[in-house]
Amino acid sequence: MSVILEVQNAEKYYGNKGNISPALNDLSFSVSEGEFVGIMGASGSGKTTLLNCISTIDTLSAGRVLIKDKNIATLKGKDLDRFRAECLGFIFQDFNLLDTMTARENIALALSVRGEELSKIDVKIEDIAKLLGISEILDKFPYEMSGGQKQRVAAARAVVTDPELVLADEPTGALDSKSSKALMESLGKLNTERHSTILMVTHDTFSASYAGRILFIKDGKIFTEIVKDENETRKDFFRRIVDVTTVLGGELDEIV
Amino acid sequence: MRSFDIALKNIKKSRSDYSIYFFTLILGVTIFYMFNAVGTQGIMKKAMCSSNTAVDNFVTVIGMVSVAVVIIFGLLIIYANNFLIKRRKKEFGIYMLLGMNSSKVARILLYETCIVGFFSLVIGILLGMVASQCLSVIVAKMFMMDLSDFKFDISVQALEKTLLCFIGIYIVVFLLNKRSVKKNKLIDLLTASKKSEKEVLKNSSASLALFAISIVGLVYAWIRVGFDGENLTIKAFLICVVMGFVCTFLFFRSAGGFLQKAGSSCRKFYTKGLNAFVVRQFTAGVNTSSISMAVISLLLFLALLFFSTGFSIRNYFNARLGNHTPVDITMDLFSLEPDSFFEEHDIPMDEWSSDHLMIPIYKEEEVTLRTLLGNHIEEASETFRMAEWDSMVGVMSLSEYNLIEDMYGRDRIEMNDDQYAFILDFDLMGEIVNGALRDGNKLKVSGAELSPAYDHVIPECVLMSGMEANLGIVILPDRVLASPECGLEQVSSFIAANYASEEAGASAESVLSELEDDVFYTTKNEIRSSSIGMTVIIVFVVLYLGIVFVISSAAIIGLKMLSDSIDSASHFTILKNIGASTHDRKKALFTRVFSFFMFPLALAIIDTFFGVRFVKGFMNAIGMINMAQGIALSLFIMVLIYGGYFLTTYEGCRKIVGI
Repeated sequence: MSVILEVQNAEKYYGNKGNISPALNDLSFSVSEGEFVGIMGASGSGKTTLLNCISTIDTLSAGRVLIKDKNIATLKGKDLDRFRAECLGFIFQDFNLLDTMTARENIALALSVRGEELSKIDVKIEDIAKLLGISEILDKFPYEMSGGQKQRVAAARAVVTDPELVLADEPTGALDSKSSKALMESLGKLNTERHSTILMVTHDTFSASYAGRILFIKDGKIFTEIVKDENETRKDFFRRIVDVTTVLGGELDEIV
Repeated sequence: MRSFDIALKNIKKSRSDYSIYFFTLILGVTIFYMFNAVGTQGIMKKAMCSSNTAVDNFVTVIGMVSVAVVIIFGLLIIYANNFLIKRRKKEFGIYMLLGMNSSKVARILLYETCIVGFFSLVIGILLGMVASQCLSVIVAKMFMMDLSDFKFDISVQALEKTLLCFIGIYIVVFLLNKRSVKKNKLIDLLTASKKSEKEVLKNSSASLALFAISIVGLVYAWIRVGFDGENLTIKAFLICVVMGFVCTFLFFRSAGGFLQKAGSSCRKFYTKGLNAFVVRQFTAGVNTSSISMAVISLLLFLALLFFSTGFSIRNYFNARLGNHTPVDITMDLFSLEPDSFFEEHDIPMDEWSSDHLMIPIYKEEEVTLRTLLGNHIEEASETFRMAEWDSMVGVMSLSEYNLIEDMYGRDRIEMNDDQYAFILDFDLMGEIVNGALRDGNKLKVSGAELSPAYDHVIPECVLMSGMEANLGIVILPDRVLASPECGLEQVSSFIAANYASEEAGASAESVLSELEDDVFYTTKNEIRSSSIGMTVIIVFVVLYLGIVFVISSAAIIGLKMLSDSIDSASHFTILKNIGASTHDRKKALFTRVFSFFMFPLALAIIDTFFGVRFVKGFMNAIGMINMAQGIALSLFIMVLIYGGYFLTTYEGCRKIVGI
């Protein structure tokens, strides 16, 4: 399987001369096509910085981010806009739906900014809505939906264009447990049925258990990585994640 | 940090928020000073032909209008300020959370108000001084005066007034701000930015119906007023005005729903680029602010109508001045031998006039308004209850009247020996007399029976007058006057003259002014000065109010756009994330701001088109007018003020949403 995302020796510093604090410290990993990768870590571990640098919102101080073998740091202006439109899909914690538009229009907008043909727009929306179980609410406005529905609409918008990489930043962060479950099942479906490549940042163990591989980040470095076995149940995988987070969060020898 | 430093930093920091506010304050001060100062400037005294009462009238009228203007500006500034405060509630909340007490926060506000107030007053007054001089020059040009003794002067009176009014407004603003900080609970201050306006959902079929009704109503009112204006009774006219007013509100109330429906049913357009987003944003904006949009549209309409017709009134007065002052002086002299009369008073005509005309005016008992009106006398007495119908109307012979036509540079009138004509430039009466002339009302004079030569009165003046309300002259064929059985007798002499020189004319006028019992005279100078005085007042009031209306409208839209941009800044981030290019996002923002500025203006322009037709119809009935100048002026002002606000707003919005 081809590699979609490659992060090589990423370093990111904040602050200026004399007062520099590293947010990313020589961090490397790669994501292959069709993978569902979770990134976990405590607050301040650098996971949001990492996501921002991958999503072209921020730039690295050193190192490279390659998406489909293309160094995103070399992209500028129109090329950057086009790259963002064609290669990336975003899902945010606070949904980021346009509240003046219906669900259908929100999803359609992602297609129409790419200059998609009218005839294809409707078909694509119906397909993705069916997959994510939001067919009934397509003509509702965001304020008429529940949080879970909003997030599924946001997910639909992110993947309807078939981007190379879907970036999810704490997608369940603002959802109750029931909605979280529904959303994560939807994301799982996107991964298995549409073969979307998903990179998800979360600190919720339950959400993470839907991923196929999890990177744990601490102090800007990869602390460890666990991969779900083919025959492993989600429950078992969940336990393993809990074990790692316990170690990650509570290193007794650090307490003086 | 001292409160003053915090205040200064705040202003620097939120320049883009302050830009519209500051722009409005400066414009307000400039306009206010300019119009109040211009009346006291030397050039104005000259424009009014150094007649002090005219200047006093001008200053009084502008003063009264200024009261209204101060109220408008006061409300506008409070509105703009509320927008700023709403933006900054969280900031105040944080100050208080950090332990600053509310009186210290109020002090920061006071300093801010002082800084902004000081700079707006200084810049505004400086601009106002320049602008008032420019205005003086324009006035001078308008009335063709020479500018040789033009000098830069500063009106202390206007300065005092401007300072007083605007400092008053600033104090009110400060007190309101202080109250809004003290009254609010901390939690409200901190979470103020989170409360967004609740979505106004419109029933789309109801919107469509309302929209249709409003369009029908507007079109009806436009057509009746624009194409049938002259035949409207006052009641019908008022109905049209009220209808237009109500339908304007309905229009903006329903336009959002209609445009959304129209936009989204045009699928090809709607699913192209960011069109769907732009349409949604626009229609949602129209829905939430339909009332202010309607008010803005009406204000703009009034301003445009003022500009285009106000200046035409000036043109009309100027044109009429030309038509109605063909010579320097006209007299109705109660003497049968004018030459000896003038000799007697030591002003022989040849000494002070370059050319002149003396024509006897006759009267006869059979030539009265009653006989001229014939069957239409009842209609006339309904309109003019006080008139004395049996008083005799002056008579001139055809050949002698044509001498006047020659001197005045008008076409001679022609008629047969058995005809008569009626010279009357009093429209209201003329219309009734026209009826009688059309009926062929016969006039019996000295045994001869005469029929009308024209089916209308000849709307010309014989004696000059500022108002068109002469009693009129009947023209009879020479034969009738020459016949032996003629019962006409001369009662007075008509004299028209051009001065040999200004001085000679002035000295003759001074002698005549002592002889009120013997002569009734009107001079070109008198008419000109009274007419200019009135025109200047009309033009200035129109300009003043029009500009204030345009400023208010543009400022309200600008502020609304800015506050919307704050709410929709996140939308633009979302657009960026889903892949909309910078160019597309800029275009979307531009389209949004542009359409918000243009939408009420578009309706106002259509309104104005019909409104101008109506006024034109009215004025054409009196004389020819040319609207081109007024329309050019309104274009200029609109582009300058409205365009200025548009650009400032767009720049501010661009900064707020970060593209």
